[in-house]
Amino acid sequence: MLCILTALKAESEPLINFFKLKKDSSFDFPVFSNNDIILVATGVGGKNISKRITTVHNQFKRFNLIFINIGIAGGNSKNSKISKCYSINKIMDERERKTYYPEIFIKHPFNEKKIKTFKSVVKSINEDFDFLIDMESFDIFKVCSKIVPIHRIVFLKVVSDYVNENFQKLNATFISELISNNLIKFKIYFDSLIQFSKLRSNILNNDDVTWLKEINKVLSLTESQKTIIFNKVKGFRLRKKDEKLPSFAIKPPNSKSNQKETLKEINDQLSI
Amino acid sequence: MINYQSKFSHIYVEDQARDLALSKLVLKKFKNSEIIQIRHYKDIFNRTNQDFQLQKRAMKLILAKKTGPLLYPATDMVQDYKNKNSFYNTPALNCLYNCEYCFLQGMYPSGHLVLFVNENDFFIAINKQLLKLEDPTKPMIVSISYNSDLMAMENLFPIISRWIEFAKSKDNLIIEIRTKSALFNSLKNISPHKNIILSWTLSPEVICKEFEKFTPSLDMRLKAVKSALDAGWDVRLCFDPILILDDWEKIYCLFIDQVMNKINYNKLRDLTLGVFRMNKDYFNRIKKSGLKSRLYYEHYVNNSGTITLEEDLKKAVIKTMKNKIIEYLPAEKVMIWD
Repeated sequence: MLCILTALKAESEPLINFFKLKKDSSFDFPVFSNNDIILVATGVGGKNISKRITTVHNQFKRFNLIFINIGIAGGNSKNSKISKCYSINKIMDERERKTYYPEIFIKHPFNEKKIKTFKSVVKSINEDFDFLIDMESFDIFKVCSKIVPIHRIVFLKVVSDYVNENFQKLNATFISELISNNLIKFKIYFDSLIQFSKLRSNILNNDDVTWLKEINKVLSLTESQKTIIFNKVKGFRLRKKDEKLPSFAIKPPNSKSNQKETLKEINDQLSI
Repeated sequence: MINYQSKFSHIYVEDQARDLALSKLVLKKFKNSEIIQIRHYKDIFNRTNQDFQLQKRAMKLILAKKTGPLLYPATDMVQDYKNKNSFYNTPALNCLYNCEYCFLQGMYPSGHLVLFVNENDFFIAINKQLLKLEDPTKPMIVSISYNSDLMAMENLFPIISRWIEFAKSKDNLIIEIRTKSALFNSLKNISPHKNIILSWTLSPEVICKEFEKFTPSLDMRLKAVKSALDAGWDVRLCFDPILILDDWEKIYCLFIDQVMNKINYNKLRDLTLGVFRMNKDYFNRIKKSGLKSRLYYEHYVNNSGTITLEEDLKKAVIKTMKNKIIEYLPAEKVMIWD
């Protein structure tokens, strides 16, 4: 499942409409979702980011969330183009004490760039810079990288202004238009990411888990016995992908030694 | 179908490595890659929360300058050859293959490939060590492909050809180049030399297919071994790790016949044997990572921090293998990894 993070209402609205997301009123901040995508409004700056991301993650972590920060960014007219979306491969903060590197592992339809996050709005910059400028990427990576593997954090930034030149043109309609211009490309990329997020990473299937629960219940296994049998079942499943686990008519043990005998019998069966 | 990024779609370059000759050569070769400047290779390689196996699918390249140590004494996981002058070094970290039994998955936090481009510094470290060998009556042996497979990458990064030229210029240095590669052709213009050992790790085809992802088939490797022997190179064969599957005896005996029938075994320098063994921490880390490999769910013992087969089984396996091999090679040419 994808979790889109946006700072501005004007950024989120075209996404909500295009992906037909419905408001989820169970949160006390704006969250919209469908079966594959959640959109969370983080607000501007670092203030709400941590709380909102953590809250949503706690609720949806069983879905292998991939966080995608979509938003506008300032650029340099010499090396970026207004309305063009870039995938971010390097994130610096304004003091450049630390740098993050998003792990870009799936092909995407965008050019790539680095970005620098500033604490306040940058209306002019006195250098021949070759990066984009925003106010949240650094904080978002910092928060997300603590709760999901780094390949599940994506940054897509649409250039909205050339910092020194046309900052005054920015208004909600213009920002929504910038996002709208890139929706088709977003969809192409999202489809791959959604497919990736649905890959099954577990060795055991649901039947195996039920089988283990049953064995555990009947035999009242100790923690170390549970670990042994759990590993045995994993080994069995990796050796025999389509075979069912051996069936046993197990009775509750009448003594410790009886329990151990039964367990040994199960172990032997799983080792074949 | 998921479209993963192609290999080396991104190349991270350390500030201090950018202007070195090997970096320039690599960057020229990968013109379409995204080049990302970094301060230190560990900023990428040592990040927390990485997924080794995913990174193997969409591998990035990191060009870096290695600072000390540039030479390590051989560990007890590496065969010592009963020589106190044995070392290994790391011109690269990780490799293009993805063998399920590989300890690198447990040793490194990242599946990306690091290439150390300051070769001269590695050469200088060896020159210095040559002057202070513990046993000067014996040559210094350096395994240069311990944490990688350099021959497999030779067409992309010409590293071993430079190492071979370096080793040829020394009187008492032997370098061992371990590989599973079939790319012997990459060395076709280089003449063999007594200071170089080419070591091929070979496994029965069923093992290659199931456990040695992205490696060439046994047949391809054998062709490379044959070419190397015919060209006069010193060749070592490594049957290591021997994996205990159902019918392992039959599989490995047929395998030994197959290998020996395809090459002129009289020309082999030697052959090494070893069963599966891995540092306990690496083993547990790999298992915890959720790697879908049955190897990590077999029965092993913890032998002073090394996960391996039970002693009796290990002895039986080695005995069986050795008995079969000495049908072809004199016993003194067969070395066992304890």
